[in-house]
Amino acid sequence: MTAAVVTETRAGVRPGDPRRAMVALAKAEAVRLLRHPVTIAGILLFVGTQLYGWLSAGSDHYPVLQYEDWSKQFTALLTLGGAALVAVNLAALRAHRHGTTAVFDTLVLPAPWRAGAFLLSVLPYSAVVAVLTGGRIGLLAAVPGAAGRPNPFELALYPAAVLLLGAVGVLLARWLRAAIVAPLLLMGLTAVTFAGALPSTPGATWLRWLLPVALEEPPMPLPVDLMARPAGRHLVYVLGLVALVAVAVLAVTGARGRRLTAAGAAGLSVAVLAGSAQFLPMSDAVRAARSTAAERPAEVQTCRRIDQVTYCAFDGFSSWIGGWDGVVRGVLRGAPDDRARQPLVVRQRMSTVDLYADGESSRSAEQAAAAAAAWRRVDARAGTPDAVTVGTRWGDGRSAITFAGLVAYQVVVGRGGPDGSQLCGARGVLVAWLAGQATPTAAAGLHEADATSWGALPFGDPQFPIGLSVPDREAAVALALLNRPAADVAQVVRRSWAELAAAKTSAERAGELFGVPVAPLPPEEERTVCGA
Amino acid sequence: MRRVSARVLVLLLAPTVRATRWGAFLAAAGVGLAIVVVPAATTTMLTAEDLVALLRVAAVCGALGAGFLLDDPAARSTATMPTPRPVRHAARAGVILPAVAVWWALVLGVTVAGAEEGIGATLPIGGVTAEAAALGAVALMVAAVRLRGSRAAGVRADGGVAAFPALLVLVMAATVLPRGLALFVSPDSPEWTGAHGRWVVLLAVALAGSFWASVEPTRPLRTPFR
Repeated sequence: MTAAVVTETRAGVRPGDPRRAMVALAKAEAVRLLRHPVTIAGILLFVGTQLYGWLSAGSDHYPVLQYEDWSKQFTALLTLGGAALVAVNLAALRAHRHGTTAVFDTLVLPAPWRAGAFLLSVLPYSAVVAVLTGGRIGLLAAVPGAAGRPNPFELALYPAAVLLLGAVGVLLARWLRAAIVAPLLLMGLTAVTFAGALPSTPGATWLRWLLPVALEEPPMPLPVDLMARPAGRHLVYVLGLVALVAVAVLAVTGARGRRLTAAGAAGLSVAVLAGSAQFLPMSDAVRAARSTAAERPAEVQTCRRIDQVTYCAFDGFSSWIGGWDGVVRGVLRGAPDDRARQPLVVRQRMSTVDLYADGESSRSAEQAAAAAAAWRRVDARAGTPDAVTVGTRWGDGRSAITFAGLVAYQVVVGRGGPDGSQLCGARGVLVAWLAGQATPTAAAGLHEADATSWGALPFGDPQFPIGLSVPDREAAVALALLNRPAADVAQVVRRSWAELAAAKTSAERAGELFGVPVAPLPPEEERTVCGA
Repeated sequence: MRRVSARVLVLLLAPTVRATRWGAFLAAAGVGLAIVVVPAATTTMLTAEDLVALLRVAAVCGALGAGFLLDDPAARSTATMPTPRPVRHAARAGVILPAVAVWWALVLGVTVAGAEEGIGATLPIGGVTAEAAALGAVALMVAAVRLRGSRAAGVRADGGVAAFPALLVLVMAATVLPRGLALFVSPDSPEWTGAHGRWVVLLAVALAGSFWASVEPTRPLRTPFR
């Protein structure tokens, strides 16, 4: 008590000047919030996970900035926002927990002003959050392989969501006076956010965007002009909610008046208007840009030629060409020189159709073939009929082995865009080996795909209608070859290329050439159809 | 002495039920139950992985509430009682464990019954129960350690207020652990057994910590009248 009186005197607060006393209290509480163990733990968890992801990616780091800007919002909501909710709630409950609420009534500062101080105390912390998340995107943008550009509205949502949760912490402390409510709200928010992310939840789209953070993921990262997340309207909606919660805090603590009512009405109308504006249909410009990118990608792409290979990337993605070229050179290194010197076109493609969500993953062979033919027609219209497809994810083993597999297929078979069927015999062995030996990342991706698949090793983005798979029998030979020195295997491959790349050569013959035992064919009923 | 304690323990159960502050636990148990009841009541198609995630969120809710069950506003006045503190804590445990067990059985029952297309039978109930037990034990341990520390310092404190932030931080940290140390793994992951070995270790450590914190912290008597 004495300490409190002394502090306020030192701050030069005169009786009857609640504003300055409120600011003084807000400053003291802001410092306590910043050094609260929960806040520090939240910051360490957020920064730690980002640093771990950063360090484990190493030089293989190809962030898409318009994806990175929003994709960590939920993590930040739980760690940084959860810390604000819990720490502010505990601070605002301090007097209640220590049984000293009544004593505070003797102080100069009335209850609404004290509650206002707790609301203000969240501001410096949310500024810290803005610096942390802004710094994170700044560092990602400085990576040589960074693609695209971040959306400032998405970035501003991080501090806004933290501000919202902090304000809710004060509201809960003043309204329900129990420490258990804040963590339970956080768990409830986690469960509801996940429910909103599931496509099978009824009204998932609505639910998702009415929460502080919307987990709405396009099936793959998209070029900037194709993004349709209503980021700006969502930010305004969350800010409206902040205003609404702040007014509720003041009202619960006994503040009344015309200005408060007006502020409450303004907050409510902003939240309702911006909240419903989020559900406006996608703008015509974005719709047109999406259809152009899907059907006439050449119009929005820049092409660059490195030796005999032409790379066409969407605007903003040309920083990835070097990475793609590394894989292409890796595959060509294993092929004989005359085959490796032939021209090759690599075209980046995207799709906004979610093959999983639409239940199309169980398509019939005819449908798959038709979809692959339509995919190839887009390449043909662009003047590059046998272009190798590369997606909008890069830097991980999966994307590397997918691309390496398609390049190897093009080099061995000489035809672009396989329709997802199986490649059997010596060709299967050759494609799997060429892809796996391309780069260390591709090799890691091959082993990962081997560990998570059964029956056949897939090479292809499941969201694209094209791809191929190599049956386990052939893949086992390729995996055995990958354990040998690449130069030795390459010598055999160069010598017997014509035989290995012929459609009729069997897996047994390939095993003979390499000196690797081949497993016997499975019984008739377990065999799969080879067609690629 | 030991037989007396055992008899006292039985006598203590009913008063302990009355003295325990149930509000926070009941609120937490209610939220935990609601988290599994809502998806079970609707026809939303959830995979085994989704259901395990829901069970985990419910388990965290229960553990958050359980941390408050050791709180006792009269704790300072009972330090001088002839009934030793481990016995009083055992009485608390004797009240808490059945309540938590009944609630968890209810959560599991609702989840299994509400799962679509026979997924309920494939749920790894034992493993998730081990996780829930470890989380609850950690909450009780932090609360007990906090109460012991405050007793030693001679101030009044609530165990739950220390336990729930610690538990939240633990859960958040557990979700971001790298592979090889992971605690929350998917039910079809090959790491499931290894992760549950780690859960059991956590449970054992938390139980040992709780036992340690149950012993009355005594200091050598220092009186001014020597």
